Amino acid sequence: MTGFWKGIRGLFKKSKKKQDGAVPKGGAEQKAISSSLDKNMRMMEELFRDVDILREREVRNVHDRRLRYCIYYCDGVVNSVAINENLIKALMHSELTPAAGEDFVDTLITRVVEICEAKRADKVQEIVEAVVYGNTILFIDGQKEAVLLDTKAFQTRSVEEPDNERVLLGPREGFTESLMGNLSLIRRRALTADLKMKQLTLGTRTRTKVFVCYMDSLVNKQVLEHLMKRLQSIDIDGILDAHYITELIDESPWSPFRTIGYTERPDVVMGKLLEGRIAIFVDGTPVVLTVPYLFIENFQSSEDYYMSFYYTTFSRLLRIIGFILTITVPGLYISVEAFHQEMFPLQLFISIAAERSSVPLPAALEAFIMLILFDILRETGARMPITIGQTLSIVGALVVGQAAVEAKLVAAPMVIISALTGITGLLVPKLNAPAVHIRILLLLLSTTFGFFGLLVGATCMIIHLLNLYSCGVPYLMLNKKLRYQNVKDIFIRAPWWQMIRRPAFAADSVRQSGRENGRG
Amino acid sequence: MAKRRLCLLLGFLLLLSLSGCWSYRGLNEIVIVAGMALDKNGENGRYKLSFEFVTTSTSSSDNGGASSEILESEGDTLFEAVRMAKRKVKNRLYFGHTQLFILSQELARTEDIGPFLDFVMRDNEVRETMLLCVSQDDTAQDILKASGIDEKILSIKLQKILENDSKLTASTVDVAVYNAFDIINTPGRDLALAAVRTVKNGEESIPVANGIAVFKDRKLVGFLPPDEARMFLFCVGKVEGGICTFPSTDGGENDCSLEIAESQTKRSVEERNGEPVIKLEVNIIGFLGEIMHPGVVLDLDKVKELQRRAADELEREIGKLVKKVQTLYKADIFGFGSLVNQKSKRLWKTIQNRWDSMFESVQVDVKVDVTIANTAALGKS
Repeated sequence: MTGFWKGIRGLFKKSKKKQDGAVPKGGAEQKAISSSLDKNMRMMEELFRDVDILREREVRNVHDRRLRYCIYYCDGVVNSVAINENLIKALMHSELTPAAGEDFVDTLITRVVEICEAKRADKVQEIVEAVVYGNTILFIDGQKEAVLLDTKAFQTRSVEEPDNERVLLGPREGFTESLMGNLSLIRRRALTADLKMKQLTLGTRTRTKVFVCYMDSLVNKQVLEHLMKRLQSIDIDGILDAHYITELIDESPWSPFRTIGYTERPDVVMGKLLEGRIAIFVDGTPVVLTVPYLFIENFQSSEDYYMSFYYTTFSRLLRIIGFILTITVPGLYISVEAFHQEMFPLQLFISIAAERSSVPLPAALEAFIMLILFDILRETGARMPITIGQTLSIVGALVVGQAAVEAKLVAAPMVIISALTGITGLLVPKLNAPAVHIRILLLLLSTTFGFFGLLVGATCMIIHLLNLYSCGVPYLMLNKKLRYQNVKDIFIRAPWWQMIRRPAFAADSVRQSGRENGRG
Repeated sequence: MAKRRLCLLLGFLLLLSLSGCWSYRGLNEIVIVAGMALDKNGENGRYKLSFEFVTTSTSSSDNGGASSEILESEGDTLFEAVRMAKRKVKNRLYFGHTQLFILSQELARTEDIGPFLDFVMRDNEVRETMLLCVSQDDTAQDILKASGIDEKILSIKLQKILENDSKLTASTVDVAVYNAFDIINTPGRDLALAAVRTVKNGEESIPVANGIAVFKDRKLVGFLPPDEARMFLFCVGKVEGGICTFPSTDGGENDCSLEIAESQTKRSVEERNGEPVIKLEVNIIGFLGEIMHPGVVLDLDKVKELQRRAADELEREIGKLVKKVQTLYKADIFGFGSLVNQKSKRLWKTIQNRWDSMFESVQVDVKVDVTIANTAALGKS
C-alpha cells in the first residue's frame, strides 16, 4: 500500500522539478530608484505599461515652484479623500523649503504629510508591492528615496455571521476577506501584547500576505518552529485560499483526515489561541487555519462552551456516536444481512426478509446505489441556487425514497439505512470528507468478509489515526492516561470552573490558578 | 524493505482465511426454517422431517406479510433429510433462526433421543437454544399443520407459548436442545420435555402446550398434565409464577387462589442408614388472589390459617406427584440422583449402581412454607 502511494508521490515529484526555474526573479525590480524625478516617472511608466489602473499626479508647491513631487496610486484601492486633503493639499501649500544638509524626506514625513503611516523606501520592488496593495507613492524631485503612504481603502464585505458555522448562542461575528479586518477581530479579543502576529509573504506571483498569530507565553515553541519551517518552505505561485496552505504544510498529505483546523469565527480562533494553538490568517479568505489540530476538535463546536455543560456534553456524545454510525451502519447492515443473519431478532429478521424477498439486487449493491444517490443529492444541494432547493428535496425524497421502494428497486430497510447514514454524517460536518471514503471502504470489506472485514477495516482506520501527527503533536493525543483530568474536554464538556488545565502541548498548562475557582 | 512489505502483505492475506467458510448469502437467497418436526415413515422406516418455513410477501394488507408453509423430506439420517429437502425449494434452507424441534410421540417412545440431538449439536448453523418438545398428536407434523390464530408461524407461536407458560403459569417446561443434551448425559437424571398437542378452537385446531413428557433412559414413558407439571417445577425450583388453589375450610373444595410471586426450592440430601433421603423445602411468597368462599373475614389469624392450608395442600400435591413419578414412571426427572452426586460424592459412589432400582423407593420429604404478602383486600369505606 505505502509502496503504491510512494510511487504516485514519485511521479508528482518528477513533474514538479521540471517546472522549477520558471518562476521569474525580477531583475529590474531589485534596483534602487534614481534621484531624478523624470527618470523615476519614466521607470514607473515602463513598469506599469498596460496597467491602466495606476494613476499619476504631479504636484508643485505654490510657494516654491522648484519643489516638484509626483504621486502614484492605484485607483479603487485607495482613499482618495485622504490623498486630496492630507497629501496633495499639504504638499502644495507647505511653506517649508529644503535647507542645505537637511534630510528633506524626513521633514516631509514629520512636518508636511498628514497621513498616519509613512515609510521611506528606495527599492523599486518595495515600491511596486506597496502601490499595488493600495499605498500611495510619493516621489520627490532630487531625493533618492520615495515615501510610501498608507491610503488603503478596499471594498470589503461587512462582518456577518458565517453560514457554515452558525450558532444559537454566542458571538455572531465572522471573518471576511480582508486580512487587516480579520486581524482586528482577534486583536480586539485579546488586549495584551502577548498576542503576537507575525507577517509572512507567500506565493511567488500573488505575494499573498499571511499572518501567524499565537500567544507568546502559551505557545509551544517547538510546534511554532515546526510550523514556521513548513510555511517558509512553501514554494507555489499563488495562494488564493487558506486551503492551499493546509495541503502544502500537511504532515500526512495522503490521509483523508485533516490535521489542520479551519474556522470562520473569531471567537473560535481566540479560544484556540488560548489553548496554546497557532492561527494562520491568509489575505483574501475568511478561513483561518489553526494548528495543532487534534481528532477530537472535529467533534467540538464553539457553542459547546457557551451553553450548559450538561446539554453540550450530551450533544458532543451524540456527535461521536454519529460519526461511528455514519461510517459503520451500511457495513454493519450488509454484514448482518448477508453473513450473520443470526444477529437479527427474529421478528425483525422476518420483516426484513419479507422486504428483501421481492428485490432483485443483492443488498450490497443496493447499499452502494443508495449511498451514491445520497451523495449526489447532497452535492447538488450544496452548489445549487437556493430557489431550486424545494424542487430538489421533493424529487430527492420522492424518487429516492418512495418510488424506489415501490418500484422494488431497493428494499425499504436500505432507505432507512442510507438515511441514517446521511443524517448522522451531518452531525459532524468537519469529518464529512473522510467519512465518505471510510464508509465505502468498510462497506466493501463487509460485503466480502462480513463482520470480520468490518473489524479489520475499523482497526486499520484506528491504526492510521494513531499514526497521524499535527505539527508534531499526536492526532489522537493518546500519550496520556485515561483520567478525568484528561478527558474533561474530550467526550464530555466539563464545566468551566473545572477546566483548570490547557491541552498538554501548551507551554503553560495552567488555565486557572485558583483551585476550581474556589469550588474545589 | 520490499521483503518486509511482502511478508506483511502475505500475513494480511492469511488473516483473511481466518474468516472461515462463510460467504455472501443475501436474505433473498435463503429459505428461513422456523421449526422442524420429526416423524418416522412407517412404510420404509426412514426419518421424515417436516420443515415449517417462512413465506413472505411485501403486500401490506397481509399484516406483516409473513406466513408459513410445510416442506417434507425423508432420509436415513436427519442430516440427509435436511439436505434432500433442498431439492424441493429453489433456495437453500437456513436454520439460524429455527425455534422449535418437535419429536413425534411414537418415535420418542421407541427410539433413543440422543442421536436426534446429535445433528443439532454438531451443525454450525442450527441454534442449540432451539426448544425441544414432544407431540401428543399422532404425528409431529400435525402440530405444524395446525392453524395459528394470533401468529401465523406455528413454530414461533409454540416457542413463545413454551417460554411464557413455563414462566407465567408454570404448567410446562422450556428445555432447549443444549439443556436436553446436558441432562441426558448427566448420571442420575432423566429428561422431562414439554408436551404439545392440538386442541379444537371453534372450527380450527390450534396448538397448545400440555404439561410434560417424561423420559426414562432417553425414551418416552409417559406424560404429566399441566397441574402436575407445576408440582414438578416446584420440585426442581423452576416456578416463577402461576396460581395454586387450596381449600379455605377443612375438607372443603379448592376455593382460594394463591398467586405466586416468588418461589424458592432448597434441595438437600440427608444420609440415613446408608440410604439417601431427599429434602425439599419450598418457600413461596404470594398474593391472595381470590377467595370464592362467602363470608371469610381476613384477620391476621385467618391469613395465618390460609397460609398453613395452602402449604398443606401443596405439600400433599407435591408428595403425590413425586410418588406418582417414582412408582408409575420410575424416571428420575427431578435429578435426585445427580443431587446426591453433587451433595455427597461418597454416598453417590456407593449407591450409583443401585440408583435405578432404588429411585422408586427413595424417601422424599417435602416441606412447604407459604407467606401471603398481600391479601389485596379492599378496606371498608
